[in-house]
Amino acid sequence: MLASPSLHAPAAAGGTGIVLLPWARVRTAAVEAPRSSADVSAAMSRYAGGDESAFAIVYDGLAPRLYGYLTRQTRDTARAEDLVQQTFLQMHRARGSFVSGADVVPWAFAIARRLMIDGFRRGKREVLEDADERDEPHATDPAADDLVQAQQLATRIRRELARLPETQRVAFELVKEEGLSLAEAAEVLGTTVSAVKLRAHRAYEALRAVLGDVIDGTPAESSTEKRGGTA
Amino acid sequence: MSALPPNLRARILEAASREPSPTRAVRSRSAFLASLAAASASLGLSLALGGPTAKRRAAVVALAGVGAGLAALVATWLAAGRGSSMLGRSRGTLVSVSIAAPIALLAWSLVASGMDPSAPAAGETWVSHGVCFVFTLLFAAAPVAALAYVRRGSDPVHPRALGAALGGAAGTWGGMLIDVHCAFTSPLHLTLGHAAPIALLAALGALFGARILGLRAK
Repeated sequence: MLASPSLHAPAAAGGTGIVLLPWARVRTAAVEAPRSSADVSAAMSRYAGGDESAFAIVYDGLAPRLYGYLTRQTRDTARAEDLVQQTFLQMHRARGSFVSGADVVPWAFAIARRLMIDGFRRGKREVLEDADERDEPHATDPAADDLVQAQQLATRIRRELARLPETQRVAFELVKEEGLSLAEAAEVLGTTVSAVKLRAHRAYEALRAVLGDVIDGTPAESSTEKRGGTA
Repeated sequence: MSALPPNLRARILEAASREPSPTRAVRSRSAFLASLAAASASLGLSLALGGPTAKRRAAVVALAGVGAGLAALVATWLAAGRGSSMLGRSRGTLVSVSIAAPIALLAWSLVASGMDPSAPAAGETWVSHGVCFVFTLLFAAAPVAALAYVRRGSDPVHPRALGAALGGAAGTWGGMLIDVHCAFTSPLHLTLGHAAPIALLAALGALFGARILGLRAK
């Protein structure tokens, strides 16, 4: 499945000027938001005011993005499902504090991220490396070769992403994978727009150094070599 | 991509319908009542102590109170308000509030005391510093409770910074009331008895912010 338009459009993602990697075309977990952030925020505002039916609109607008984000982060669909449910219930409980005119997207992502981190801290973290290995697809049908190659590439990218410093990886994922604007990502991470921009850019440069062959056909320095061959 | 589980939507909507949650109007009302209760408790305690000191000129006492009150109002607006974002002010703003609150109160107290040549220049002891320190904390206790109640379990990003800012803001209200009561005006006394408790409340807010104000799974 193709990535959402925001993955292809740096300007839409906050105008970083960072050229997006072509793996956006091969991502398998990209999602498309059926409603604009403004629509969902307006629905959340109505829900805060007591319009009970508006919560379904909030769910429809946010759930696919949150589920995609949490699935990519946890590599566990059951866990992602549980976190989505917890996130929406937290939003439901806190609806009375929703500020009219505020953007609901950064709030929802911040809640989801906090719940996920708390879950990890309680010792529920999966061994991501192992999951990557288990998920490695194998071609059994010649017609599926392209898809398998794409999935293998996505796995490779995920592996390289996992090796980045957390601050850079998270900034990169929120802006480039989830399609949040720089301002939204800055809110989620509790930092400044320029810090997010810098982190995402550094992540991109680091990925470009090890995945150059994917980007422009030039041989890339492998991450193993880059780390002195110790990995 | 991993498709959304088909029954998840129904499950979430059903769970939300089973669990009542306050609407904006209800929440605003409870926040207003909490603020009113906090103001009543602190002012009640202040009046129980006998009201403003008689040893200083009334105009200077009023000036000190109004200036400190304005500082407390601004600190509370910055700390407890969310601005236009559901995630509240930035970490930098919140930390700045927690640092600036005791400094602003101290600076204003020094300015106000400088305008009053009739203020007692001596007679302070470590006991008087300690008494003012304790009463500043007591005056601030109700605002601390009210602000913590209003923002409890709501911050998924920087609860420690929020706690520090709320502690600083509540402490400034306590500082305002002690400024009105206290006759001593030396820089040492104002620092130890009036401003230090605000810094302590900000530090305690940072310490307990994650537990009280941080968003937690239920």
